[in-house]
Amino acid sequence: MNSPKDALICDANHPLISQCLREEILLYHIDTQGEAILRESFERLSGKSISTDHDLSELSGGQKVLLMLCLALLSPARSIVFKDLRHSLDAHRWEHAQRMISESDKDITLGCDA
Amino acid sequence: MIKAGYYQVWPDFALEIGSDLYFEPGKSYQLQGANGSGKSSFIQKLLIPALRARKGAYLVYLEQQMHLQLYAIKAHAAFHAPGIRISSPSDAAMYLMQDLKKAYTAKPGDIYIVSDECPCLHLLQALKLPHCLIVIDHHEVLPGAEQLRFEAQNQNLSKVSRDV
Repeated sequence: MNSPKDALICDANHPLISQCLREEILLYHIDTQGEAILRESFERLSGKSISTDHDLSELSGGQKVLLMLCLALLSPARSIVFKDLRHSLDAHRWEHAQRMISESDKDITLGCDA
Repeated sequence: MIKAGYYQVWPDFALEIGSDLYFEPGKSYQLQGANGSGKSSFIQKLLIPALRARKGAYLVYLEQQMHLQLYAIKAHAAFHAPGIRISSPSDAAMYLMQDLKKAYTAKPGDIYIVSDECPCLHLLQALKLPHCLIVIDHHEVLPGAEQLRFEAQNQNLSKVSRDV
């Protein structure tokens, strides 16, 4: 069970841990239903479609950050701290990302450049 | 120089360059375009190999999300300059600039500095030696820099053009 101080910390300077979407999905504890939503929301946000076996090293830096955002928002974490989220994003993506964050019912903190 | 043409930079992504691109010492260039339009791929797959092929030239490349590069620079500093502490991208950029100045003093050559969203761009711009600066930055327009525009045509292709 999460204590009130527990938070998922997502640093846009290190957006992904593995090179495969399947592993990221496991790390973020996302179920099959969440996986479909993840792929859909990432495609809407980035304009790029990815499969669970996708080699994430082929994504651009900004796309990795967008994927981190989608993973975090779909994870079971109630509190999330995003660090330097804005730096790698263009104006359009940043606007879209802000909308997703404001629509989320999670407790979200934007750190550093955001 | 990078010739105009069609470049398959990843198995599922290509860049179409509309005209020959020149990167000249003393000038600045800014790569503009949305996330995923191929700016970093252009740097990694086309620009860096072209610059590495220039004999006697110095190349400083600060990559996007540079945490791994930061460890490499720390390791270099630990071996070559044990008194210097490197704990941030700014420290790393300053260390590289100092190292570059030493090398340039010993043997001058053309200097190319490539920054892919480096958070300490101001440190690179402050270099007093003549250099060519090539930058990706989503938030600032570099004054006086020639703009190279990357426009995604679809998921698999972007066009690269110069703003004249």
